[in-house]
Amino acid sequence: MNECPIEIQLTAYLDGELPTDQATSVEAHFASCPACAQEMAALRSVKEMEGGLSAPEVSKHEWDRAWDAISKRIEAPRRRALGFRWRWLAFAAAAAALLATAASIRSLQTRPANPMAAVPKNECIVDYVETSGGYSSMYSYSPDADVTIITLVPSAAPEEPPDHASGKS
Amino acid sequence: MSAVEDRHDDDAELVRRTLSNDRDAFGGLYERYRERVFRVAYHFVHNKADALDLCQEVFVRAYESLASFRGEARFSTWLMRIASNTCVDFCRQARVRKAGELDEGMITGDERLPETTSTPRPTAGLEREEARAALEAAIAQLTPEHRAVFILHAVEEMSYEEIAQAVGCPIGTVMSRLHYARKRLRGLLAWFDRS
Amino acid sequence: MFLVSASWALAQEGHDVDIQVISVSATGRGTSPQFDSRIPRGLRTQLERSNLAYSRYDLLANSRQPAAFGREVTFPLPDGEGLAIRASAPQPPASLLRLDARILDRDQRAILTSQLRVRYDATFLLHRPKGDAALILGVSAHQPK
Repeated sequence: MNECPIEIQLTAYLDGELPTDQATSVEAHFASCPACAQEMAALRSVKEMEGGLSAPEVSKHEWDRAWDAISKRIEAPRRRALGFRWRWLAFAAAAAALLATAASIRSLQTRPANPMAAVPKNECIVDYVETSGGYSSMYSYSPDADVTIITLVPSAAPEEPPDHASGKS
Repeated sequence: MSAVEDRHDDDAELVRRTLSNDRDAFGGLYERYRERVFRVAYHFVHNKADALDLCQEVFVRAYESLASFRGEARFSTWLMRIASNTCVDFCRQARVRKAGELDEGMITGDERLPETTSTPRPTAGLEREEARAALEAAIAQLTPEHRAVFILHAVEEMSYEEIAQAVGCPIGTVMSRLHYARKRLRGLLAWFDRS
Repeated sequence: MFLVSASWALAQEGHDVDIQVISVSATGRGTSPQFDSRIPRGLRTQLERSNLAYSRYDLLANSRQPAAFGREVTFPLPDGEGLAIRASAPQPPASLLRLDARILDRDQRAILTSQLRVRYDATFLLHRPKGDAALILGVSAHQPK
């Protein structure tokens, strides 16, 4: 019986990135390994969803405005280009670091409002979610489904294995 | 000459003219690649305004470092590297922002992701819009480094080799990060499976 | 006696809103979920539309507590945990209530803190997977009766 292929070969096979001989070997393995076949099916389901990702339209006016901003910056005297948002971020980072050291909460994780639905039909809008004590959260709401859900789970994720290609551990 | 090689030569010509102080040439590069850069930025931050700001930042950084573009790799790959680094930097810095002070909200991810302990299920039963929304919410849970590899592959359909050049790591690392990104997404999406 | 005291205390502080928490146990996986007939229809609809993949939902508790704006009320949860909710008065222009919700562990430490804006009678869900099962809380705020 073949040895199970290392897990990451499944993703590479799915993406057509394996050399032919390795791909053939992986295909032969699936016939005799239900676990790998199931894992492949699960990975394929995620890959199939990738085609549905889309970004919002940007108008000509917005592109032109962005170009105007770029032009101004590249014509400005040569200095470190930190926009307003980035300066604010630097300040906020320093302030938040100060607060974090004074707080007693461990593993602080912050999750701001979900921009994907402005005001859902059920009008339950999540503005803020924070977890601690080894937990993570995710939240979602769909305007059409009228449902707002906040999910709380322990955040004990497995470590990513060593990078076999680079030999690091 | 193939279309790809034509584009490569065109880009090299636009870079040469930009370095000779032809700002219209840089405008040409902007028009050619702005949508790609915006798409990558948008899938990092899920906020149109932030994505447009990041897009500006990417092109400014590209302009400022254009002299270091040697033309050995494709310009698009070089630009994607700047885009990826800029977005990863932004996400890392945004982790310490207070949630209540964000405008419109930007999804940040956390380092440690929950993995479902039960058998992961395919998401075949989700309606398309709900599936897209669930996937985008889950992508936001990835670390910036995993998000970069996933977005460059899933959104920009770059090959592992191109992604390795763009993010500056070995192909094996790209493979590993993409695999674990998909596993984590699968784990998160398993909670939202109707089938 | 406790209820009389609580009511009297609220009468002094103000009874501005009723907070309702419906606790549901979710188990199994599959299509066509089965619902405990005691689960209110509104919550059942939410669970059906939520894409959560459980096959069975059973009612654990349906609690409603009066509260004053700015005052926290706590609902006990299984395993010694608790859900603390504080409502704030509606703010224009949308006149949505602000709700601060915390899930407390058995040592009364907050493991989740969230802030939402909700309209009266709208329900949001808190989903707490534990292994293959889960605790689901349907939380809503209502005008006092």
